[in-house]
Amino acid sequence: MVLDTSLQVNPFASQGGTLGTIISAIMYLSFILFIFFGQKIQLRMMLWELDGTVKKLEVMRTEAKNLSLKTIKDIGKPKDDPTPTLNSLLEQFLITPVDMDPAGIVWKLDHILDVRDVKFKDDVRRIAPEADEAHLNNLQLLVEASLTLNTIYRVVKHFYLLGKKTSSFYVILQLQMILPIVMQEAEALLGATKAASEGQPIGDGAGALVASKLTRGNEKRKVEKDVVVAETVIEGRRVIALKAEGPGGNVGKPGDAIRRIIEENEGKISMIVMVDAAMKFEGENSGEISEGIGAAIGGPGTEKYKIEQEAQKYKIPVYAMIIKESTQDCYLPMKKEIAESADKVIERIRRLILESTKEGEALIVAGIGNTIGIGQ
Amino acid sequence: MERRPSGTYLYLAILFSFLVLAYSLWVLYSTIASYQEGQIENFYFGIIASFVGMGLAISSLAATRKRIVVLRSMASRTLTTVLCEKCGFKMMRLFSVGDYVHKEIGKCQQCDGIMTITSIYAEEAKKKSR
Repeated sequence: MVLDTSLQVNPFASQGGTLGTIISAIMYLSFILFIFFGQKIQLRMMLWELDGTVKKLEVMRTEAKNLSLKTIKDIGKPKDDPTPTLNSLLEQFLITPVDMDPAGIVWKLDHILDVRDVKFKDDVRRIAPEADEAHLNNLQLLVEASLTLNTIYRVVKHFYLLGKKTSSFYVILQLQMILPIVMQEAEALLGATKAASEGQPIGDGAGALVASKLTRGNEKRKVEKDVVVAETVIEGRRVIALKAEGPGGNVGKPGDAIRRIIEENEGKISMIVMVDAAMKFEGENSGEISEGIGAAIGGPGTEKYKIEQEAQKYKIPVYAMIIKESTQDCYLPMKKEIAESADKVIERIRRLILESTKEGEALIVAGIGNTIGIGQ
Repeated sequence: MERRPSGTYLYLAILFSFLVLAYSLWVLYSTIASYQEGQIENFYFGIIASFVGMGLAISSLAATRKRIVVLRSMASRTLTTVLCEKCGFKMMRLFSVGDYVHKEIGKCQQCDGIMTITSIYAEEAKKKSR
């Protein structure tokens, strides 16, 4: 069949012209070349494409690093050059606990995350001595976004060079397959660095925005690490709302805060409602709301574990309300439709409270997410 | 998100792609004429050349369209909504560094109430604030 087709599209030879002979020879040659070197040619083309992507990622991480440096100098007013410390921060890593014996691993991981958080913040404070607490949190978020971008660049470059060195088609192929998603995340992270440098609310803060709107004007108190709590009354029910302390970029430790509140109320909590931004499927709209059961909280899982433990211990039902958004929406400045969904979530919470609790009962509403640009 | 990359390169790419597409269509038209005149060699050459040209032009236009979508998303601006809870006077302005939700920013222009930031969000630059 292939031969027949080649004969059909090869009328030049029969014409006897020079052009026909040349084109005919080129066609035969290219056919033979593709038989023997097809995969090599494909590999070269993929490497060429990857080379461009690696260069793009390098530009992005440099842009993020320069923005971090500029913001640190503007806000933190360091006496010495912060570049060496920043470079060291951008290479920082975390070793997770051994999981061969998984018993107690959550608390080990929680401890390591705490140590990492304190160390990271101290390092940022050292290079930005003039920054107040809110700015310090923003700077920490900014450096963390730059660190993630730097890590993405290093990993992609590693596999690109490994594939190039070994001429492994499958290493390159795997990298090329995941690259569009990696690039989307990298673009979003670059957007996050800009949001963090200016203190703009990001999509991930949707849950925190709900909690702050719910208790607007009520007295706040700080519980646990970087978490604030306020009480309000809705339809005769005592609503204890919590969120990370803003307006600096912060997620706090809502698991510890919920445990503390439950203990303060001697377990007499009728339900926990968790509000968080969550991944939407392609084709769905950002800002749509979904309701479900369970602890709506992302991250490494330690906070989720604590909430589930406490809920199980006191037999408290846990409800989840999620505000749908894409991965990019999560990192980028909060979109209008996400900001507007906060009021709709509050209406849904009101309905849920009426349906599932009795007058005089107490419940917890936990606004999960990064509270950058969102005050109490 | 104030980064606004230049669009000159994109416009040049679009223009060039359309030129290639137009030339390819012209070649295709001429090729059909050659076939009717019995010039089979020119016909096959023209068919291959015009399809390659059209393929390249369409691929370039598709890539440019994708790039325009990315640039549009980058050109979003962040708005701050300020509200007086006493008289309901609402104001929208561009976000400025230091703004945050629930920040009290001063007295109301209409009454002696306190103006508070109620919302901060990003929207595409082409949309006009209300």
